[in-house]
Amino acid sequence: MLDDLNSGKDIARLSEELLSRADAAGRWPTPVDDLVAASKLEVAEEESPFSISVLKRAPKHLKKALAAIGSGRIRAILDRRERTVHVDPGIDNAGRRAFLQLHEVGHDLLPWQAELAYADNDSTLSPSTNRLFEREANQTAAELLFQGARFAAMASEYETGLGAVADLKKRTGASLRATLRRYAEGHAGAVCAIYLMPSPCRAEPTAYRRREVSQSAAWSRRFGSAWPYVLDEAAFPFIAAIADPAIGQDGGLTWPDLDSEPIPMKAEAIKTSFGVALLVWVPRREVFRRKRRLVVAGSV
Amino acid sequence: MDTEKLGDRLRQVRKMRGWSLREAAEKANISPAYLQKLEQDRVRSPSPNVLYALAEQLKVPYSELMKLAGYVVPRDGRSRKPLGDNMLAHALSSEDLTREEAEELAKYLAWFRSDKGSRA
Repeated sequence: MLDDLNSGKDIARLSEELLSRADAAGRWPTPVDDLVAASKLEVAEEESPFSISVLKRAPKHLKKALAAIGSGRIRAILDRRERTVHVDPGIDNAGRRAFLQLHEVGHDLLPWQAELAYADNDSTLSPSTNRLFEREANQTAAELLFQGARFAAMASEYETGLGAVADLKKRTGASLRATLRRYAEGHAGAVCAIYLMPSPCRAEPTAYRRREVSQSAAWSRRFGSAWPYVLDEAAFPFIAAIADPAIGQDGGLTWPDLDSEPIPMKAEAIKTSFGVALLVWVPRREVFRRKRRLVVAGSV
Repeated sequence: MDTEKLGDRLRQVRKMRGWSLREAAEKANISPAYLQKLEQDRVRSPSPNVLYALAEQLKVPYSELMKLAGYVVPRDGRSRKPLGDNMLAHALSSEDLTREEAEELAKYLAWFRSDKGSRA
């Protein structure tokens, strides 16, 4: 399901307005630079707070404090006063960088977040508000990158599967992870995308730790949305498709729905730098204006 | 969260403007029932976007409503603005930082801004 935020409608409306201002609606890959420019923001190309040369110049006590935070934990920064976006140069995945830039655009686009930049120096956000604002910025980035409902319309031209996700990733300019998430959330059928840790945590039965799950509304209605932290092959037979792709296609996979009825399933898996991406869905008769059947191959 | 004060403040300003619950709710694009709950402090976590819409319509500072709702909180007194580092002047994409880590980062960013200014 798309992130269930109370501000969801406002986020969709504000994102659509920005897509229109940037003349970006319907242009693929999504022109991230135009969206940043239409927000009157700049992406720092040269010196940024992440630059080694800048860090070297910093006072000793600040260097020490930053070292304690550790590298990789801060991925991007929006400097509201300078109206500049800084993205960690260590992130070299173009789709990931695009998402992070739009995440920061989101912090600026939502007036109930941006307005607080002018609150007094003695204030800060409570931790729960920080987390809420992060989720809202993520949702804004996804609305912009996948252009609201336009992505689902484009995705409906494909036969369900990871091949479709890989092709949609190329067309949108997003990362595989973000594309897979949006694909599952917006799918009209019962579809679920599960990211697992790269390697099993147990053997016999094979079990993986879960990283994240995204699922369509139809999936939630039929199977619920409770997922254990560890998924093993005995309870979740589609795990077997990781080692043997044939099982996922014609292997007679079934999984019980909320009424305990065994439902036939298909599954595909691919190894990525973030973990094993597993797409599971209930096969259905699909009618296409332009049928795109794509087969996923190897790792991404 | 000091929701009692938030509800009191919303009701006080609405009455000062001479608006009924329905009028104020329509202007802020929320339901009268929801506004009534807010005024009675029966909403555990009012959405910041709703507080923003109410602040705009009722002409009260949004940051004041956010403070009353407990969303904007005072900083730790020991580490207040040694470098003019407003923690709300930047937004991040990051893993959860502790309060101390966020404070240190704000100081670093304030230093970065002034260093950049002095080199320009």
